[in-house]
Amino acid sequence: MSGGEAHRLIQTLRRQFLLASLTRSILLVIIALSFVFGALWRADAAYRAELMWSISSVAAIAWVVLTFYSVRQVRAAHQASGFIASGRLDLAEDKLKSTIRQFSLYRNAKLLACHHLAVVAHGRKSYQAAAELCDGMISLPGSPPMATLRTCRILLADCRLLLGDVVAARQAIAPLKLRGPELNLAEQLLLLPIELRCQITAEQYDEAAESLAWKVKRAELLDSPTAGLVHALLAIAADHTDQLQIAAFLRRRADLYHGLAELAAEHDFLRDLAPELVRTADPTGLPG
Amino acid sequence: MEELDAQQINRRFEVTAARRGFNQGWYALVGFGLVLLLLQGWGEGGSGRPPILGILLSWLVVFGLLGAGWLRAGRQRQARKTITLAWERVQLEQWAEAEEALNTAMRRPIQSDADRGQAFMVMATLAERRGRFDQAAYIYERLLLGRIGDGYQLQQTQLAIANAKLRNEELTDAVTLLDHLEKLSMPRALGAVYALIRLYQQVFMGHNEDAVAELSERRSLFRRFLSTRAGYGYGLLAAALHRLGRHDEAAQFWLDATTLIPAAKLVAEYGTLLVPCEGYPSMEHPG
Repeated sequence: MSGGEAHRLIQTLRRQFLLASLTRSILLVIIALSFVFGALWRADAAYRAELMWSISSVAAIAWVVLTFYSVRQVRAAHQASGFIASGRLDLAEDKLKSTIRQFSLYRNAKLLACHHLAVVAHGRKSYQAAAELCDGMISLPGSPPMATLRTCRILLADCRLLLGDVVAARQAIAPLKLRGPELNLAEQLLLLPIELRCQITAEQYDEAAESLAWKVKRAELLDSPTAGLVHALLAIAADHTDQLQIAAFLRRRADLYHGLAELAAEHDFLRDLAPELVRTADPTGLPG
Repeated sequence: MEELDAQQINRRFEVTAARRGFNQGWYALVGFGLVLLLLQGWGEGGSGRPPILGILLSWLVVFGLLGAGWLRAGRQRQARKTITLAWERVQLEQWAEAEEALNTAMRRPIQSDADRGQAFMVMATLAERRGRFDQAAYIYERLLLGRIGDGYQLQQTQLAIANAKLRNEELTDAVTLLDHLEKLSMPRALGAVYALIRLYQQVFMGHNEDAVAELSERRSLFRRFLSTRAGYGYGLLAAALHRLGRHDEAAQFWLDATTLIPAAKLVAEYGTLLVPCEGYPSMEHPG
């Protein structure tokens, strides 16, 4: 998926939300007016009263049917997340695109689908498209649910970092507090490497080295390559804040998790930020 | 930490079981309410218009049921949130908080199989933490027999049973199960978990040559997929190497193990690691 296609999908989403709001308002007005007039109409206008009741009933039934239709779209989005988990990103992408293009009376199904599509685009290394989708969701009128908004911001920051735009990445995660009570553990684990990278790139070593034990505890829960990266970044922060013994320990751990040479090969910015880290790396990538 | 016997565990399985007929019954009732509404809407009262009481009642039925469905979905979202919180607390080794969250989540039926499976995995982990591997094995067996959880969870459960039986010294059952699991295809991440359990079985039963037969492959597998828990693998390899008299390698593996996981925690998890702990220098964790 290209950035242009993602942009068009966001435009579609905006139109769909507007249409859904209009439909809800119209149905609500029809139901309310028909119900009131149907109840108040005089006995000599029986035909019109009956017509009003019928219109009211049909509008209500249309609402219920459209609600069920929206529930099916939520299920489709969940099914797509199953495809994502099993690595079938192509199937997930098709399913999610069609879900976004279908009409829904409610926003949540579409937001969920759009969020999953951004995850798919990120997984397929279409970072520009994923960033467009996340950016679009964040700027949608009437903010998405907070949890979706938070993961969108984290995903957007990651995409911006991968596209080399550190300033935009910092802006994306600015409203999020790593140690704030609103972030659950999964979100903390997603945010930690991104925030650290932003801080280290901006030479904010004191901030990066804050709550070091807390950060190391979370880093231990990450997968090996990410745990290695976070330890390497924390080692850089510790080095610059004169915690040399801790820095050496963290470097050693980073090497055990993923190998400093491998980390340097995978993340160009590490070579620029800490050439000494790469120089001390074991060329085999294996410790010991 | 609350001790649970088999009867109490069974009771938790019963309490959390989803009411399967609820969804179908709910859809049927909503449908019935809609039909009633239509009939009332097109029917005619004595005054030349439909009877208002009947219509009001029909509306009440439809919206009441939709409201009930919405409330139920909200309860399930809350249950999922609480189970996730319990799992997070387990990850952070905050055992009391994990148990508290789990007890809250297990007070009522849990509709999603994946959520229910996750809740019982937390419960089994807490039992393992208490050293009650018999209880943990019983929970895993019930999960497997009831096929509670998604495919990945069920594979995890099979591995967890093997581990719990091994730790409970039911060696014949454990080895039979491990032999069976060896033939199954599983994701590489679970393969690494399998390799760790197999390694413990080999070290525990004194099959040290087998334990170090594929030393570098095992090390790479642990390193790639077990993250911090690779430390347990390195520790067990150090124990096997020590018994084989390969002391330099054992010392290096022990140092790597203790760099990832403090020595005291390694020994608390696997008593058999006391020997390398006493024989080789451990990494001091600063701060």
